Amino acid sequence: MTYLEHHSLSFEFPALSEPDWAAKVDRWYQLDAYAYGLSQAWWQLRGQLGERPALLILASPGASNETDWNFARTGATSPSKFVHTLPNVRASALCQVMDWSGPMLCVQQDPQTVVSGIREGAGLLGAQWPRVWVMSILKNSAGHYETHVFVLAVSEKLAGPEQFELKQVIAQGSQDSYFMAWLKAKKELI
Amino acid sequence: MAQAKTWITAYGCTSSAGPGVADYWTALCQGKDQSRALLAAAWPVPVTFEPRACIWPETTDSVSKVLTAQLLQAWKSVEAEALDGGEPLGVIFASTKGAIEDFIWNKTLSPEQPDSLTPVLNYFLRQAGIQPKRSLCISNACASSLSALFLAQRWLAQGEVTQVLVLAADRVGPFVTQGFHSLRALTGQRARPFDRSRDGLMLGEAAAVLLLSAKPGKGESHELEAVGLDAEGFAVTRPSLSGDSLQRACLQLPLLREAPPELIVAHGTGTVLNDQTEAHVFTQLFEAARIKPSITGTKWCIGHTLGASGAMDVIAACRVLETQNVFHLANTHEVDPAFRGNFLAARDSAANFLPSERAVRRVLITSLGFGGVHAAATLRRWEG
Repeated sequence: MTYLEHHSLSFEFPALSEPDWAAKVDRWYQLDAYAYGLSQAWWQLRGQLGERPALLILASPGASNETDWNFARTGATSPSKFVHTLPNVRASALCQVMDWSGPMLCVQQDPQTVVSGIREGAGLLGAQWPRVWVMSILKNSAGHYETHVFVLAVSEKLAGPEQFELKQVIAQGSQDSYFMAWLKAKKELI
Repeated sequence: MAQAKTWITAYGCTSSAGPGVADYWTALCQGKDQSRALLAAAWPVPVTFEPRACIWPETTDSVSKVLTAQLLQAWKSVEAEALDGGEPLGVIFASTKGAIEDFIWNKTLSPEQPDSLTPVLNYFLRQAGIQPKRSLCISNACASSLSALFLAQRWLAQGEVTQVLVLAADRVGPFVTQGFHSLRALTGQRARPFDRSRDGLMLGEAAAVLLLSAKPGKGESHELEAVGLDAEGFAVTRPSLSGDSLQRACLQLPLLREAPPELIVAHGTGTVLNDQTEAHVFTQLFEAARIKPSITGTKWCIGHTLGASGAMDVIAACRVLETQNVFHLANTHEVDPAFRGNFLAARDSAANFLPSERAVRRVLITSLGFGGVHAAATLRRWEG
């Protein structure tokens, strides 16, 4: 049986202090909120996340719209902002912080980007990739974000208390907002 | 999950060379560089240089309308094969930033709006009258097309669909042009991949449609043997000089070292670091090969078409397998002496191609993307 384990971390951006992993990333202070949030989540949650993934999926609603806006507002002249206008690029800092390399897919399908990412992860899970992570960042309000890490694996490989049967998760199959509300309700029950 | 046997059963494209595969192939074989000056006077940001790119005919239509129209044009070559038999179809759209131009300069819109790719995919599906069993957008930088092929192979293996349509398209506008200019990544003249005096890339526009199937098609089909994919944490805009990540992607392809391909359609952007990394990896991979693969590329001709570039390279590879003619790097007159390998530099004649001296049965295609994402694929001529 395959399961999904959910972890999350709220964070504020811009960061108020230098992160503990700053030395691992060249010019960490140039990262956008999304690249920062992925790295910070791994660093803060690494004790709970267990083994690193065999395959990684990035699935954040809105892609890199916020960073695109910031680049355009500079008159489209800032190279340090331009490089973060691709939504897959945020994996680069994460790979440096968690010392990882492997297959990575950045998917979009608003308003179902998170649900689609989990669905693809479930489809790819198997002998070749026995542990798949789907990572999403959701923006709550100005400067306030949440990183969500969905760890997909067979049950024996998961350690956290909040596990959901993957079939049941995928059956929700609706828009991200409904799915996140369903997940929150389930976690409160636990 | 084992990789299913996968065939490319039909393909179509549009590019700066014209509205069909034949135009693209003719430009490659005649050595025609499609770059020209862009009309940047009306752009929403001031431009302090004279931008050039390989573009479609200019229009005032919205980007999503242009991308959809170009994809629909490419779709015409694939439609009959795709819809024959009513097989369950999946659709994956691969792209990067092109579609952003529609709303990024509009100050009344907010960053909270949906991603820019999904509306283009949905618009295309409505216009083409396709109701896919599943669909998705992939945004893996300049490795988006090959990443879409990677996923398409898995969809076919999962069995829910028996055909997957991979759409790939990108558009050149002020956002992308200014961005690459800010990185000093653009050439001011011509893209000269693997040349000793290469000085940057030329941007380009293209739309490609590839039909992948779990069984060979009625016409000529090519086997997509495998796609390798790897992401590394090194630097955002350049690959590690060791090329470890690209090499890992290549080594996911079965028997690549043991049975080297006859030809490589390299990513070959014409930037110093991209070409250096690729040349290094090809040397490492094929050092022991008795006959070294020939190395060519397409970006000197139609520019770097970003999210569509891998699909355009796959189409060029299909044409090589069909015609057994091998096109050269027409703008490359002196291969960088630091590179070892059988690079196909410009020919001193009107024709930029030669019939291959040995049968081309297998072609390696590589893509390198910002954020350290690398992909490689092998196509095999199927002689069913």
